[in-house]
This record gives sequence, C-alpha cells and structure tokens, in this order.
Amino acid sequence: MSWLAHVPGTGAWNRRRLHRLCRETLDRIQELVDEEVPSPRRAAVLLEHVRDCPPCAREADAVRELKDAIRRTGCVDDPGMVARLTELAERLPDSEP
Amino acid sequence: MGEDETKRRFQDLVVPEIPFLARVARSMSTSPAQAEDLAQETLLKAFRALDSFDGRHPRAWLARIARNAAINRDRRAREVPVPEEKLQSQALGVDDPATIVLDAEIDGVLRDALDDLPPAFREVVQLVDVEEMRYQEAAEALGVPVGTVMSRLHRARRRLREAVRGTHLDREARP
Repeated sequence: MSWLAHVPGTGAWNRRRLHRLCRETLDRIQELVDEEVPSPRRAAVLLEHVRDCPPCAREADAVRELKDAIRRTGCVDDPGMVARLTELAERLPDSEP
Repeated sequence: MGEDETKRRFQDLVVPEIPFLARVARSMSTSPAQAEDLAQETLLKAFRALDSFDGRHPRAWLARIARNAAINRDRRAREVPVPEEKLQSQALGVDDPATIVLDAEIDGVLRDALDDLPPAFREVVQLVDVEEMRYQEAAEALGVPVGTVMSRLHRARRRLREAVRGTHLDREARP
C-alpha cells in the first residue's frame, strides 16, 4: 500500500477509506437492514455509504428482499387453530381452579 | 390478584396474541398438530403464571413460555425435528399477475427452506423477520444472548439465500 493511502484527501486515501467502509458495511449488513446497529451515528455513516456504493446497495437490497419474502411466507395464520385456541382461552378462566 | 382481575389481564394481554402464539408454536414444531398442542400448553401455563407477569412485552413472554415448553417436549420425546407437513399456502396480497407467479414460486421454495431449517434457526427467523421483534426481545424470549440471535439469524438467512438461488429473489440470476 502506498504511503499516500495514509494522507487524508489523496486519491489513495479515499480508495482505502472506501474499501474499509465496504468491508464494514458488508460485515454489518444484517444489523443495518434490521436497524440494529447500536450507534446511530455509525448507522448513518454506513447508510450514506450504501447510498453511494452500488455493490453494497445491491447486498443491502438482497437482504431486504429476502427479509420481506420471509415475512410474507412465515406470516401464515391457521384460522382453524386460532379459533380453537381462542375458544380454549375463553374456557380457561372458568375451568382453572 | 382477584379472579376477575386475572380474567381481565388474560383477555387484555394474552388473547390478542393468540395468532402470534399460533405462528410461533408452528415455528417450534414439526407438524400442525404438535404446534397446536404446544400453543394450548403455552396458553394454560400463561394463564397460571399471569400473577407473576409484569405486563410488559407479552409477545416475548409468551414466546419464552412456548420455547421452554418446546424444549421440555423435545426432551421428553427425544425427537429429531424433521418437518412432516408443509405450511398451508396463503393469499399473496399483490395484484400484478407476474409478481404473483414469481412470489408464489419464491414462497414455495422459501416455505420448504424454512421448514428445513434447524429449529433453533427457524425460531429466530420467525421472531425477528416475521414477528419483527428486536434482537434483544428475541434473545429474552429464547433465553439466549443477543450475539447468539445475530449469529443464528445470519446463518439462517445464508441458508435461505442458498435455497432461493436461481429464483427471482436471487439478484444474480435476474436478467
């Protein structure tokens, strides 16, 4: 790595910073999509990076789309079961000593 | 706590969460019948433990009761949880016919992949992705550290992404 990569404002410094941001974003992509990054300031930095970085944006979109699909698939109510449980819940207070 | 107060709290805190309880019990079980038994047991235990419940986060509380009951059930039965039946299909709620077909394909693949996940992974996905719990809430509900929730979630999603590879949900497979 060129010593210029350690001098703020140089092209090499910008590339190094971008590379580190990409790595951090990809490491924390799950927390980012789940809005669980503990520090709001860090989350803002990473989100800004995602807006400007197509590969990171693609990864974030992929996780988001998967999450949406899981929600759609997993949010299946079984009306029969819910009705039977509701009926049980209504009987419980009278049947329990 | 008086009898009427217990009844009122049960109606206010537990009964509205019955659909949630049914879904979570399903994620912790290998068949609809087993899920219903688990949900019934959870309801009964919740009613009996209502006096000691502080009223905060009823979903996390119910999920924790269900989780403990599921652990005891599996311990008793020494089961290897292999899915016996698939979840019923549901209306998709979107209008575009092409989207309906694509979503139906993905939902089918995902449903199978979700059923094939190890129970510990499936529970976390159910609580965080489907029920939209925070990591902390899910951790409390499952009695595990937040880091465990995160790693299980990460590994579960990685498996699910593998499962949808080649479908419309796989961005690399899109034209």
